[in-house]
Amino acid sequence: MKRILARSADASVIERSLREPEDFAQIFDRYYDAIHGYASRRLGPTAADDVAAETFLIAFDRRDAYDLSRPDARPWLYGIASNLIARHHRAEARQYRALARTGPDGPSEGPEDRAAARLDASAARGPLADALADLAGGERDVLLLVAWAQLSMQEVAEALDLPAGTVRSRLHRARRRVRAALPEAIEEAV
Amino acid sequence: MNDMETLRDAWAGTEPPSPTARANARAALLERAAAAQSAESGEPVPRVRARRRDWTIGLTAAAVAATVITGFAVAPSLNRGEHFAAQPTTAKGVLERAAYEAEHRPFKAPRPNQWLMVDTRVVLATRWTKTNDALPGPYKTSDDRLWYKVADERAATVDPKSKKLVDRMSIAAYPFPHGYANVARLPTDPAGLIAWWKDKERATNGSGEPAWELLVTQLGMFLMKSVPPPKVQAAVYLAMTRIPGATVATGIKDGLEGRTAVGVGWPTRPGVVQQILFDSSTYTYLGTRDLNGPRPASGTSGVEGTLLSAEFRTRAVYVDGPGQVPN
Repeated sequence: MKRILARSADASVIERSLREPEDFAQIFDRYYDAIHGYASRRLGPTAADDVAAETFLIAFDRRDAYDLSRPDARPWLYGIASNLIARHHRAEARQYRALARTGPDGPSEGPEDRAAARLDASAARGPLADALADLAGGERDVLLLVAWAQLSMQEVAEALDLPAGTVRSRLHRARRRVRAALPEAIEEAV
Repeated sequence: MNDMETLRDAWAGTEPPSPTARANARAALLERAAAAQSAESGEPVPRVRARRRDWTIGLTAAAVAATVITGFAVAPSLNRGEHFAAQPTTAKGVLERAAYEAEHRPFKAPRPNQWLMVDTRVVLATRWTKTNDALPGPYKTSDDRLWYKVADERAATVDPKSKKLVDRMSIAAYPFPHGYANVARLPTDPAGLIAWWKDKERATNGSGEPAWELLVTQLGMFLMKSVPPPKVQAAVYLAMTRIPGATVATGIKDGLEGRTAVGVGWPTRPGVVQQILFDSSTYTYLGTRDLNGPRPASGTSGVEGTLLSAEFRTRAVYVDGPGQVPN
């Protein structure tokens, strides 16, 4: 309930920002870190600075077109971010390829005391990165909006302005590719 | 653990955004919001000390003329008249002179596969009053280097941590482009350029008259990130003569490493003036700086004329690819 109330305020804030533009900073304060984190996973921190900043500028510019019947602004913001990230598709693919080459012992941004599951995930990072690099852009958007942005399929459909069926099929194809890339032990646990 | 959880956990622990990036992004948003407010109400923009987004290239100090382009001469469309006889002393005179010189300076268009390398020295005030007014010194200085692709809007920089070349979004001058191919398509008459800008602003910000302050800010960014062809450059300077409230400052030397600049400035926020700087002898574009402007009636402190920030172009040259640095 708390989450619903919090989200329901997004549309109100955006509506209010049409009269009081500076109120849009509340949307920034709520979601900047999340959008930045998503962009950082996909492009690295430097490009994420730009993508996250630009996401909110574009959102602000387009706020009068926001569908106020949608209380939660996250899908809208992630959709804008996804479009910006798409401009960097080559850089994104390069980043995944680099991660794939570094393997499980490569650079890690996580805490030192990872749980066993994290170790498994870390071991899978290289093959997963390789699989992500091979995905079509549309499939990767859907997969990562679900996995990293934790949007529902309906929210992904809103974010990318796609029919729900298209989202389902893209997610299905992407997951199949990802599962095929996972190390055996992890795959068995699926 | 299923595939989605594995995918999530494999990229867990991503570093949070840096406070600087966050602050810059928020300031950029507030600046945009302030401009929108101003456009709607017709009143001065609310007080926001909006630091520029750091990917925008900067402000301040050094100077140096761009080595860009040599080549064809463009048929003059301005008369030298009084502007050529003496140092102009009005904002309009300075801008018209800069336009004239831009049209007559040797220029060679880049090849489509080239990139424009731009070096900028950025200077930022480090001490602020409680009302967000800059205090004089000490200043933080840094150098910024970006490559802008001629054929489109791609940009690149070297990541300071990894030292690797990375793509860099560069949209701070929006709606103005920076890739030469798009820059060269801009209107070459000042009225047309302003009309083009208004159309773009209305398309993104809705109806209403766009705020002149926004145009000043965007043109400052635009000039910092591009080297327009002569007629476009002249159109930009002549368009600036139509922006109300311009003032002129002469004999500017701070941070210019021996050069002297003349600056044409406009208020961009209450208590803040942005100046476009030109070499006082060649009228080459040198950079942009923000100063404490005339003090508003209340609610501020600080001294008029104190430097807030500056971006000085130290070099601009076409190269064959991103990452290439000519001697």
